[in-house]
Amino acid sequence: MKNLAKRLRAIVRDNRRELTVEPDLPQPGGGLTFNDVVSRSADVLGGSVLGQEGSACLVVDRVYDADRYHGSRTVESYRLSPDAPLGLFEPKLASTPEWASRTVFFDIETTGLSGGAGTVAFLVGCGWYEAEAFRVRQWLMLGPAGERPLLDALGRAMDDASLLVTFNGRTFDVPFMETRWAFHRQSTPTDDLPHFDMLPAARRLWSRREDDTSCSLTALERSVLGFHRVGDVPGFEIPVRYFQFLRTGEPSIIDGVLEHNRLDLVSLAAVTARAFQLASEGPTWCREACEQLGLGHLYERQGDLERAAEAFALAASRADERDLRARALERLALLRRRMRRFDEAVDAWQTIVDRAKRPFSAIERRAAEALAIHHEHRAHDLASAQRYAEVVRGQTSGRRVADVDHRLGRLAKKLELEKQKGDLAVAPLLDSE
Amino acid sequence: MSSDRRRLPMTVLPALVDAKSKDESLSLALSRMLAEHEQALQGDDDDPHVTAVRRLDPVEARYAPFPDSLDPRLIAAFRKRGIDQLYSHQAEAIAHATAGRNVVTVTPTASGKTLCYNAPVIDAILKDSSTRALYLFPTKALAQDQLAELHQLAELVGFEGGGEIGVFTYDGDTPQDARRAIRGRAHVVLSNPDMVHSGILPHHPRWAKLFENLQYIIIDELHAYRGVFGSHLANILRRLHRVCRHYGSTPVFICSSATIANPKDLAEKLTGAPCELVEQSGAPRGEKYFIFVNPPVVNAQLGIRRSYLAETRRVAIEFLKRGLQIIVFAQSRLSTEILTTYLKDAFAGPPGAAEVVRGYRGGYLPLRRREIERGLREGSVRCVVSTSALELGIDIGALDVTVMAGYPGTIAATWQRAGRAGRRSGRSAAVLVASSAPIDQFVARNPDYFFDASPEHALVNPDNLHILLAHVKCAAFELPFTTTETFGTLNVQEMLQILSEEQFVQLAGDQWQWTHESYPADAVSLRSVTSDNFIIVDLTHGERVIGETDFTSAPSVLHEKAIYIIEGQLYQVERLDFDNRKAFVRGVECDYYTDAIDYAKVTILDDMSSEAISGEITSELKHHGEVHVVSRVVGFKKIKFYTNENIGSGELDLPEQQMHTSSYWVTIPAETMEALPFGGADKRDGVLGLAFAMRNVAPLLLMCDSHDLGLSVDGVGTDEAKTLTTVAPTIFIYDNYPGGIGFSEPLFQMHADLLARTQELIDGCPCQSGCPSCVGPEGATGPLAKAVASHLLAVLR
Repeated sequence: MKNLAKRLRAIVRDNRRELTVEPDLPQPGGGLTFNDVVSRSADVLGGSVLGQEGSACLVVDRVYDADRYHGSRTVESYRLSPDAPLGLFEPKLASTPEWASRTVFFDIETTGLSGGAGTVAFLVGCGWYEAEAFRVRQWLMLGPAGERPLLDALGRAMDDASLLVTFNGRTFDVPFMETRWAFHRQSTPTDDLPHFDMLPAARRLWSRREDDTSCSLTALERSVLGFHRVGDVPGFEIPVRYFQFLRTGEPSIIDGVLEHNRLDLVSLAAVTARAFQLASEGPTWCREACEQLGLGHLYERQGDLERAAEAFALAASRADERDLRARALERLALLRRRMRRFDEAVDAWQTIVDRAKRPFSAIERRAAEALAIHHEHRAHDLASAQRYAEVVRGQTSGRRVADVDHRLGRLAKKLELEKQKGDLAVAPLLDSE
Repeated sequence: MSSDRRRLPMTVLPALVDAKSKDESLSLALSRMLAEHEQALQGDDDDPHVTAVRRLDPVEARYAPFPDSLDPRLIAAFRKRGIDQLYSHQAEAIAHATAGRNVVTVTPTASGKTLCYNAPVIDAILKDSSTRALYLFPTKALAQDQLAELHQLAELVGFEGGGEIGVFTYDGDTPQDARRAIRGRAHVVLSNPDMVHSGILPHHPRWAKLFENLQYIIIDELHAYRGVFGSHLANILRRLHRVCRHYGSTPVFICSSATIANPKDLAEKLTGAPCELVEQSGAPRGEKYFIFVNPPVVNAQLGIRRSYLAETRRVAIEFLKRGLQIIVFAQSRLSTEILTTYLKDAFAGPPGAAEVVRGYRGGYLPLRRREIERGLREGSVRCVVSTSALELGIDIGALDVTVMAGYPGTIAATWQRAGRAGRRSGRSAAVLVASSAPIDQFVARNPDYFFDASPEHALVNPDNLHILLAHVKCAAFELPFTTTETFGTLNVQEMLQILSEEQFVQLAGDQWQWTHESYPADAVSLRSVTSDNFIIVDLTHGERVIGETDFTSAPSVLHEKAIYIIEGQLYQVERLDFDNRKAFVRGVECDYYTDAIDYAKVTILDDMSSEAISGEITSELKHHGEVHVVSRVVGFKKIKFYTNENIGSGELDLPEQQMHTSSYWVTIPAETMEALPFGGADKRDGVLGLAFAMRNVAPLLLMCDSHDLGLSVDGVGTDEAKTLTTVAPTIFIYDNYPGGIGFSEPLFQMHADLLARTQELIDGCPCQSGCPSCVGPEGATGPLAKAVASHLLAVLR
């Protein structure tokens, strides 16, 4: 075969589709040895080489002093109290009393999101509170040989931890690391470690719409903590930066990624602390209706119905958006019905319908339907039931129309029957006159 | 077609005869064909209707006892199923596998090949419950079929102490939430190469338990992995070997194959490891008749024969009338549907009786397929008309007769289809009805070729650079390559160097680290060389995607005004959006299909045959080597269904396609051309006719699909009188895939055979001066093409 290299190049280049970021940096190599890269990286990134000479893993420690501000509050103010209501957010962890002894916040940066054996967590960060400070420890792989020492060190950190706190770690960070341990055929230190994923809790407390899933950590640190990042590395750029760093050996390219990861950890700790504070102080302490609504959900799940009802009611009165208010009122109505306090349930539904605008939202339509049901079956006020059913009919389309028509038909028959009964009941009186 | 339907006499389908009377019914049904053959042998009909009748003697079973090493629970389970001893080939295969030797078993249909691999696998699991096995099937349907059988066996075994033996399929249909459980619990994973490629290997850490304990890899239907698909599989198995090494396992391969010329060679090329061969089947076989039928010529001048589909219908009815159960194989989805309709129409009966005739092909829903398979096993389905979908090992029981509408393309596939009929005792028959395609006509008129020649070689080229590079990327993603590692036969370090230039990998210490965000398995499609494809959008009722076509064949099947056929439906292409890889079609009713006219210009890059015989100065005709092909679809012909008449044409302006591939070629010396006693134009027609015939015979020798090969003739310009006196024309038959797929060198080796077979085809064809069955239709090739081609061949040989 003639000129294999030339043919290979032609094929590789021909198939090249996606454009990586154009490297405007010094050409690869530049005469640096691997050891040069390691020591320069340790210098620039402010870390040290993990383990013995020649290791390809760097460990970088940063300490955030207690009186330092992160957003509108100090680092110290985010320290978790051992009696914080963890079980309220994660019922499975309710019976883990010693969780607070060493809470480790955990976040990784990977070479891709697709998963699979070829993507690695090149940077792993852990954060925890010490006596006077919050400490962030990061491990950075300087090459594939750095993964084993990284995993070993991380394993030790996990062994010391009493609780792991992540942001979306349930679906991403933890399974990802499990894959890496499996890759190296090592046992998984996260297996029986209690794990609290802050993302679902954050969605409960801070998402403004029912379908709002864009509860990102950076959005939360702005809205909840009042912290604004400057010059942050965007997430999509992280793998590319790491690859460039590997190629050029230039640590300044990757510095921003380490900072990004550190800020993620500090913010994660702070957001978690805020969530726990809200939960222990209760709905009156909240600034936002959505927080109160979220707390209501959590209390209800825990079985604390009175407190839940209070939270929903507060949320409904505080809410200044129609959708959020309707959500709170609906929860309140359902909860009242569950508590068999039907009149209060009707009040809540009635408020939804009274404030509804056409066309109805799904919640508003459900409220009108609930009122129709209530008046037909519980209050036995057929005329009102018919009125509400007709409101529902006017706001219904598609397949559900048949159901509403069925209800209207039944109501009409019942009304007719009632009328006949009424006539019969009245007739003898007339006769006797 | 509808007027035909009304004219057909309706017959009531008689009940299925019982097993005892089957032999007699079959003899009756065959008697007319046998008589016709006798007559033809005595007279000198040069175009007989029945061209061959062969009787294959019954074969006695050869048995062997269960090996002592097998777990008694397993032997007991087999006994419960009525298996008291093994056939000799089963015992042999089990002995190799349990001794840790890779083995490939070549056995006919219904000879108990699954036992050859299920026995060692279940045995190993019984002995050590951590044992894992991976089964690979070329299709999902086959995996489903095996699942039932394995479940049954696992249940009978009564696995004590370790819970149940977990058997699961893992393919594209496996629900996401079931996958985790399967990864943990499956002892046996039934999958396909596509899933191993994109779902298992790239996620090997999740499958650590499987790979750590992987003792057996089963490759069923090994012969299906040839050409592009096989070349991909070989590379997937190279990757699998690396992952197994990483987890410390060295699995044994147990392969089963239909009869091909090179099962051992294919198994070794695919698995990259030495393999033992077991090819003597111990299974018994009943007496079998093999009959070739050639529909009579109705227009000698145009070489048009009676429709082979009508002929197939007639033959099938002969058998159905006598209460036999039959399978009819058709060559395409379209002809399957036509034949199903014909045969359903032929039999009236009580309501629902039509259900005794069923169609079967890819595109039917799995539930319907299972129902048909069950109906065949139980006898409620009397006749099934199928594409090659039923050629592979789906369990449909043993039928009485196979009728093939058209030659299946290879000797191996023909035997396999024929094997669908025939019980272990008792009589069976296979009838081949030839179409007017050149291969069919060749086989029909040269039955000895079929019965005496060895079946075809299954060829793969794992080192096709396009395929190889794609898998090197996948492998680098899965595990970093070390600087001393190899992968196949080519220099992988050089490839990694080039991949690092393009930033896919990065050398760090003594390892190549994957440094790319992509998921490389996604960029590879196992059924073609490149993953680029065209989608076909039907505009008949809104926009609906109805199919896809690979990049290479798109211009010739999706050009504007092309008739695109899917599931018997005809569509006409309205617009081809080349840049966005879309073809917009609309449903039509018409009686023709289209055939693209492509023009290919071949440039020789490297003549490898001259290297091989360096030193000798010869005027060799035959060559092989690397070439550059520039091809363009320049127009198309409209061809009438059934008669293959050319009823119109059109011109097209489509972009060029270029590829680097391998080719075989024949250069006819200028002096030979000059010496031909014909005029310039006739000489040109002769060369083109010869090329046409050679290109049609080549797939026969290579065991490949017709469109795996491309044809180009150089040196026959339009100013033929001038060029042909000075230029030596060259006939290129090239691999129609970028990078080549390994057909050229074998074709070069078979050069003499190719010319001999081509001559037999041309000289044996009863047409007067060329027809679609030999040198091409006379209208297209000129009046003397056949004579000149024949003359040329005589000189060249």
